[in-house]
Amino acid sequence: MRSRGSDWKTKWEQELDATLPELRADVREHPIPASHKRPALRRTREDGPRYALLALAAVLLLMLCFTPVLRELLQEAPAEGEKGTLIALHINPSVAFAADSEGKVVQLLALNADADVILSHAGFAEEVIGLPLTEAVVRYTDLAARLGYLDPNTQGDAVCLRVCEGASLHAESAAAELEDYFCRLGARIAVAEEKLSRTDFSALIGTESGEDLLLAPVGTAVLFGERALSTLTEQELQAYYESTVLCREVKETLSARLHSRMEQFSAHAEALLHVTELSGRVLAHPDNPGIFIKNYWYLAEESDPAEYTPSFASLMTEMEHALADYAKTYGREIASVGDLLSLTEESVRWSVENLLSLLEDFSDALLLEHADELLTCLESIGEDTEQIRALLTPPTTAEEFLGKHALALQMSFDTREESGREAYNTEREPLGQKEYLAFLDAVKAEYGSLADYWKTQNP
Amino acid sequence: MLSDVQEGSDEAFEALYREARNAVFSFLYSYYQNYHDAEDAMQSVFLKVKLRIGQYTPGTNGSAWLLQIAKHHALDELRARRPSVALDEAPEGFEPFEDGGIMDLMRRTLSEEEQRVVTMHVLWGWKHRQIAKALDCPTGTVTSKYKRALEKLKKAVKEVL
Repeated sequence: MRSRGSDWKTKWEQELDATLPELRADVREHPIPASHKRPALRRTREDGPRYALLALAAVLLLMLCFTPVLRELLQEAPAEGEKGTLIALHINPSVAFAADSEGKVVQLLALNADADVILSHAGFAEEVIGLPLTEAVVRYTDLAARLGYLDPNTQGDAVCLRVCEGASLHAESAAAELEDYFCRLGARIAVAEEKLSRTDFSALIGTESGEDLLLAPVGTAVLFGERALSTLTEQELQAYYESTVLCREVKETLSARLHSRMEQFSAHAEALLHVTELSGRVLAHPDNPGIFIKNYWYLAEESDPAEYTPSFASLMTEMEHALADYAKTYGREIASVGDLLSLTEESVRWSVENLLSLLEDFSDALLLEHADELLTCLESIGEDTEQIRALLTPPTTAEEFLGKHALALQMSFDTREESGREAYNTEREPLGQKEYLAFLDAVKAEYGSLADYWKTQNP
Repeated sequence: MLSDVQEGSDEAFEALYREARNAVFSFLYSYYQNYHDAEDAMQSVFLKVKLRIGQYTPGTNGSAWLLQIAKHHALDELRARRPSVALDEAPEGFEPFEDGGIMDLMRRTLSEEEQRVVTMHVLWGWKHRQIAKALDCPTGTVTSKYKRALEKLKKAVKEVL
């Protein structure tokens, strides 16, 4: 819980602090039930194989029970069965997988811009293509969780697996494998399943026919941005760049970087305050030898230290050290009163409070208006902003677009990986099958079905 | 912190109360609309935290767990009393918040739902998406409610100042 931002929020917290009473004695003294006390739990990976075996058993049972039915279904659609399987996985990064008749992934297709962040990650597509569909789906989901698209610590969420009609058993196994993954992860995330007709699936993935995907060159990952590029004029390209790359990836990255550097901004403001205070002391010191110009920088250049009194010499040395520390920490020198004034002005304009207030409602318009200043702000604490700066200028050619798009995706990946690390690495107990099923039952009781639950979570 | 409470630490429980009481109280206030009932409910919620701490899964979102307890407590209690005392007819009681203070302005200018959204965003630090999940409504609705509420509140604050 936090308190931040403008005055009324601080005032609100102060009002509550001043009014709310201490814990009532009967609540404070009520013992914590002994049966509820337990030592801190640690996530154990030893249980992993046990859950994997349970899932395998479940899949085998499913196959034994339903194989005759599925075989019959496949016989009704032998062509699709021979061609392979098409499924789409919606986490929020939505992706379509095409697998061959043996259930090996042959192609990946990003269905939205977020999926581009995952599919464009170096080596990911190469690693996943050729894997069994079940394994590929889990790898993709795990990376999405690492990047914070899924909260592993959630009390309830859902993903959706949409399967194109005529799919083989591999698609069925993918859902079971995902559920098993969520149990191992310790996350209460349901897997909703939907079967789509070939027409609906084609509409979903935006091709003439879903089979196009299977007929496309094997071993490729097609990005959403690349597909958009092929249909846009030069003017539309710039608008698309602004709405996707600038107002999504750049905004997200900039916002995350600013948020994560608040301590540094605060320390920077303090360092400037220290220098300003010393500068003021130099000016006002009774032994200052300057006649008209008394500031530190002028004296350091023009006056003779031999003439300083011990007290003033000590102050000048202190100032020298403060400036050297500043230069060492922030990679820039304060070489004049003017430098100090402009840095201080900038630091006051973009104080921690003002930054937090801006980021709280960080609209696209605010990004476009202040991006340059915000980057300067990051530079003031020694951050390298070259890559983000390069992205602020819209591309004029398709080639340039692809280069900037790839850079933005990589930046977005790095930012998300950093911000999602803590949640992903939090120690959790794996969920037992009973516990996970109880969660699914509760969801079904409240929402009617897992699909309805997923729709509620993703309106 | 909840994990420490789970291990029986009274200090952790007191620290939890100090850290979370503003957020829990304001959230409950949005249901009760009066200090006396919200304060009473807050103490009950913290008692429930002690009684149910065994149900908390370490490593999961503690504030979400706490909010669920508060929400269910308020809804259950109001549901139980509704036939005899409707919310609007709640007896006038002691209101320690000064006229023109933020709590007073929130109560006078915002709807209950808007109060909840503002509380959850500002005091609980939740994202609009998380609030939408907790309140079971679309994220867009939360965003628009929050913006509308903020405008009203800022206007009210200016008028008071």
